[in-house]
Amino acid sequence: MAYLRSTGGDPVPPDRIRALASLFGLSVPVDDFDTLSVALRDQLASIAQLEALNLAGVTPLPAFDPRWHE
Amino acid sequence: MSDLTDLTIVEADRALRHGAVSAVMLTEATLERIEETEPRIHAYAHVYRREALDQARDRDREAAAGHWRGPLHGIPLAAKDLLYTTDAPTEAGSRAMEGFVAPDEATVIERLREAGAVIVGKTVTHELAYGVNEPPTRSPWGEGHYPGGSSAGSGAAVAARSAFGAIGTDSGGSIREPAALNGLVGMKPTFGRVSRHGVVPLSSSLDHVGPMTRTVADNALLLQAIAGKDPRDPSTLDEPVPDYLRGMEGSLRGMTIGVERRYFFGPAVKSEVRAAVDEVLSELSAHGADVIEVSMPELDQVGTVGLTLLLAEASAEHRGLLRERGDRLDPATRVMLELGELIPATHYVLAQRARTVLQRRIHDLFESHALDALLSPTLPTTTVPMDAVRSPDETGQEAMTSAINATWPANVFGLPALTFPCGFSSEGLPIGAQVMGRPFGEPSLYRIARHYERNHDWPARRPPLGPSAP
Repeated sequence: MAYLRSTGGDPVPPDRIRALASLFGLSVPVDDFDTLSVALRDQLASIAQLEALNLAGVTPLPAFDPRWHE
Repeated sequence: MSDLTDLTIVEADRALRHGAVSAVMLTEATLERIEETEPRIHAYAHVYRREALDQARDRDREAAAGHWRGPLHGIPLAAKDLLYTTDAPTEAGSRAMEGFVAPDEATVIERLREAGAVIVGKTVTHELAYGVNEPPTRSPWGEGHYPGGSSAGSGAAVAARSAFGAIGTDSGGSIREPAALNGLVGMKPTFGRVSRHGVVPLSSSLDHVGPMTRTVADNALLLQAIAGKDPRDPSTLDEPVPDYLRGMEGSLRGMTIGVERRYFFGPAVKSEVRAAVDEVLSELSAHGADVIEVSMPELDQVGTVGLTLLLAEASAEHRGLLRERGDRLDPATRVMLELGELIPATHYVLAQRARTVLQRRIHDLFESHALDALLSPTLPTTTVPMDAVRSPDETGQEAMTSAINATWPANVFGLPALTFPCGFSSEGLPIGAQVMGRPFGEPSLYRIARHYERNHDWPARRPPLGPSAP
């Protein structure tokens, strides 16, 4: 199973990922940077799709419940 | 009986009750089948030979004393190696969890044992159920073919007759994908229907546990045994558990099935898959169901919402594992966990808000058309050789990126979704159709699938492997 759709464009520069990861106490192996740079680009770009929904005033669910409440 | 492993659960239960077979006979036949098929399909992470035979002897003693636990009494089953058992390690397909022995058993395992099932082993999973690495399992339907995932071993084992049924987990399609690719029935129940206590977590709001079987009735029997409120899992809901077998044979008259073609029948869907699913719709319509075209443009946002939630929740869950044993993770899994760490919290909250909106939209869609279910292909394709999994499809994406399109929505909405076999390709590979229903609408899904199933012989077809195949 694969999740990310390629959006094209420049991958996130590895030095930015390294800096961000180190803030979170995460040491990213050198071999992971190529894949991670592209994946982070695609994931960050995909969020723009949510602008198609009107999210104004919508409260995020504090606990997920699949039942439909009328 | 030429081969006991060819029996469905319903047939095996009948044979047990009539004294034609014993639990030990069924278990021995299953263990032999495991030995025959494992060199090719690698479905099992752990096989409990001695423990399974001990359990089977206990069930036979009980039966001899007139004590029947129910329709799973003496039936050999398997469970994904994500579910805790105390008689063997639970390793979740990961070197980072090698040797981990759980302190107690998953509620689902406990309920299956209480129902009399014999657990013959734990099945291979993609690492941590993320579905991005390459486990050793192969589909019994094609030499060197992709088995689906992440419940890869459960799907391969049931198809190969090395288990009568199996338990899988599903965070974005991980029960339904391997079920569809292996010609099985797979149920991802409503969120909160089945306990997740004692299951290695991936994504707290997307994870589900459910059954994978060869027939619809077998599937209903397994769900019956594992469904219901569990005090040890606060996400389970205190909704009554219906009798899933009752009403399964009922008429389709009065039922309405929606078809959202733009989203579910997109360009990635192969023509043979499209034709098979259209044939299902024609048959259901001919048998009394009202089949109507519907539209929900917001389905396009489901993937982004699902993936954002999955990335953040999985990385939060496995934060310690990544830091302490990251070098033992498969690089593909590790990158996903690293990626989740880098997602801004604002994106996670946006995804949760979008999920609220999408839940309202799907509710409106079902209500405005009085739908009982949405029907679609489960996957755009049949199984493919392993080296083709990463090849681009008609949309330019990797074949298995499009594979998740139809399965994601049920996880994001928390709605029940059932895949069932609906034919074979010209290469002899199984095709699956999916029905997604209302909250706790599992009985309607079983009815639709059973109505279709009884006019076809798909469950009786065996994959072309092993010396006991006819």
